[in-house]
Amino acid sequence: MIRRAGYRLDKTVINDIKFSLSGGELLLVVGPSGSGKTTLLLAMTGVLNNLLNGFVEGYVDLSGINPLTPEDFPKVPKVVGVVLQDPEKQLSMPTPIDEVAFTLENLGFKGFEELLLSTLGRVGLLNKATTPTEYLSGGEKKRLCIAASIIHNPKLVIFDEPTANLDPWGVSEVIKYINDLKVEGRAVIVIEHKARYFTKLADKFLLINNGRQVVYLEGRDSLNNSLDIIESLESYGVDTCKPKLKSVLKRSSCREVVLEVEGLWFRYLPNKDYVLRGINLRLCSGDVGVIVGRNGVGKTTLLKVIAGFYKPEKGFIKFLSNDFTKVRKSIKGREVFYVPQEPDYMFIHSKVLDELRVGTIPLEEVLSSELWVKDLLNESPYRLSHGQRRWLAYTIAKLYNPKVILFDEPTAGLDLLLLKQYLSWVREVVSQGKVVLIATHDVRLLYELATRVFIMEDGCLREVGVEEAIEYLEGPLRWSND
Amino acid sequence: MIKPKPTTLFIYGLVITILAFISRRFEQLLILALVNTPVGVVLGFRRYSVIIALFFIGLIGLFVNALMFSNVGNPVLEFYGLVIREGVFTAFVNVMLRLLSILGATLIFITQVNARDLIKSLECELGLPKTIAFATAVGLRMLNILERDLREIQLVRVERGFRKYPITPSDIGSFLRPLLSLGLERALWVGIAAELRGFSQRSSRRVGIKITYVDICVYTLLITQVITVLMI
Repeated sequence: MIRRAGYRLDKTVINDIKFSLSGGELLLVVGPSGSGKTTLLLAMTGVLNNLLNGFVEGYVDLSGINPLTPEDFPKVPKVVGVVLQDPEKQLSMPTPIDEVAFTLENLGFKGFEELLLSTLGRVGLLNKATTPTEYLSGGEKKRLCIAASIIHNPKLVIFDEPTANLDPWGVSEVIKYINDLKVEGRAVIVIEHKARYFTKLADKFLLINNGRQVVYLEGRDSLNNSLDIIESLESYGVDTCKPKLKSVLKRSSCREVVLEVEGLWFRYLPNKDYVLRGINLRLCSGDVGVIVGRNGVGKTTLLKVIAGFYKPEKGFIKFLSNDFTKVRKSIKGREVFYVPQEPDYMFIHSKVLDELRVGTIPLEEVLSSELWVKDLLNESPYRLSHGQRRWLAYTIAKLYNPKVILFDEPTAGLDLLLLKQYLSWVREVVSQGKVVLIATHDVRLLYELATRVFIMEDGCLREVGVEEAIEYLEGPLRWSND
Repeated sequence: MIKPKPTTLFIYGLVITILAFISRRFEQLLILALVNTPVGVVLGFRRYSVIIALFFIGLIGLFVNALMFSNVGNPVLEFYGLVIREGVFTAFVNVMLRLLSILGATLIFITQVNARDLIKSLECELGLPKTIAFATAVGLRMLNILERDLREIQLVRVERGFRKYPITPSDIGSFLRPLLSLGLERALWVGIAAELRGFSQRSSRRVGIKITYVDICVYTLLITQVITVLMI
């Protein structure tokens, strides 16, 4: 039971949250971005008041341990394992075997070599035990985080946004591991805004909005009888339902070919394998192209080659019939603009106002169209919320007035409400005749936005229908929905 | 191949750094730079080429600094009305050699040391507090992530019509801001994750320093440099 908690005494972030959990049960905690889900995690593990100088009023019992007290807080790791959202913010050791050993060394385990190997084998990383961590894929890093958090057999395992940045295959694996933990009798808490992946596994359900407990359901029967409540939670930014395919969007005819890629071959080094093999792509004015594929298949590389960051070995790239293949230098008023997944990479200046002065569109015009930014002009871009930083990055891209905007995983970490805002933003941009090309494994974009869809596999790109692409992405998750 | 122990390389790097800072004469600094820089660059060029490149670009700032604060002595060069005196070159060369020595020793250290072994070595052999040992080890791991961040920032800078490499103080600020923002957030969460994995309960058992013949070679090289530099 947490009555109040926050990072500063004068600002309460969460209020009156109450729940209980037994071994073998899964609690699904959902809510829009900024609702206090992560703060709840920090509060119930004692991190908020013991490490971050925050405060927590209330009572927490983790298998007889009160994590809110300084005496009991050091005992928390013995009973709890926590898997954070971003593996790069959790992994601290150079190789997987070092990473899992780190947990056991901290907790005083001895003679654990066999345990190390069996745990790595359980998450499919045994053959990569000594591979440097930076060479692991996103899915492998997530599995490593899971291994490092459960190796000491904790009674409670907490997952913060476990499906973030994972492709559907990675999501399917994570769901399976979470289900296995539940079957083994551990208590599991999953904090997630893509609730639809876990509603069938959950035994308890908690919705938080503005730091308050809005809905709390206990027991599978109660959950089964409340599916209509759960499905109505879209207004809170919670993704509970499988999206419905809108009438397939197609442009009536190609008014103007804006982006043309033909026979593109690229590799990072001469003695390495090709990452891009004979890529062909054609997008017309008003198109929203979506490229889907597994993590690490080359989607980002393709966008960066199109953006001119790397020169292809063979093939050409044309914007409005001008060959841009050999253009290496940046030019103002570029034909194409690449927006990276991490918005912080985009910012150059120390104030939002200075970021908006760049590009070819006058500042007054920008301020009249981007009303959300009016109160933030003197703020540092790095002090904005994650959603605001993303929006600033998109606005900066628009300011350069490119014909083509390339997005790399633009919806990672966005809840349903922010996703809808992004969809509106893209629709407005393409209505002006621009082209948007998105690399993603977010199936929601296929349902809502795509006019041209491509699947990337083994460095090759093929154009497919929306339904086929949806099946490609939803297929790996079918077993979890049954 | 047997590598030197992390403790040995840590002591080596620390002593070379201290020596570089206390040495004032050109000959002393030259010896340190000539011994450490080539070895460090050869070992670290593949993995840390961006950081090495940035270092050499930073020398431009170093020259400007020398021009502003050490422009004394006999005139050496006149450039569009600006008289550059011998003090500038002396200061520039000495500081450059000092930094090259430290760069070399650092590259030797970070390319040969594994983070987990480093924590154990620093805690168990040297008896350093585990917080210092862990921070040092995580810093090594974060270097690779930092390099990746730097590459991404450079790409976007070029796209937005800015310089790829920092030359002016304003450039340096615009590079540092995103790196610090991302780095600090990452460091905070790595710390939280380590605490939730029981780091505060980590206890170390002092085992004393054990050295192999490779360590003896490294210590011999170190002592030779110390004696040579102090005798000059």
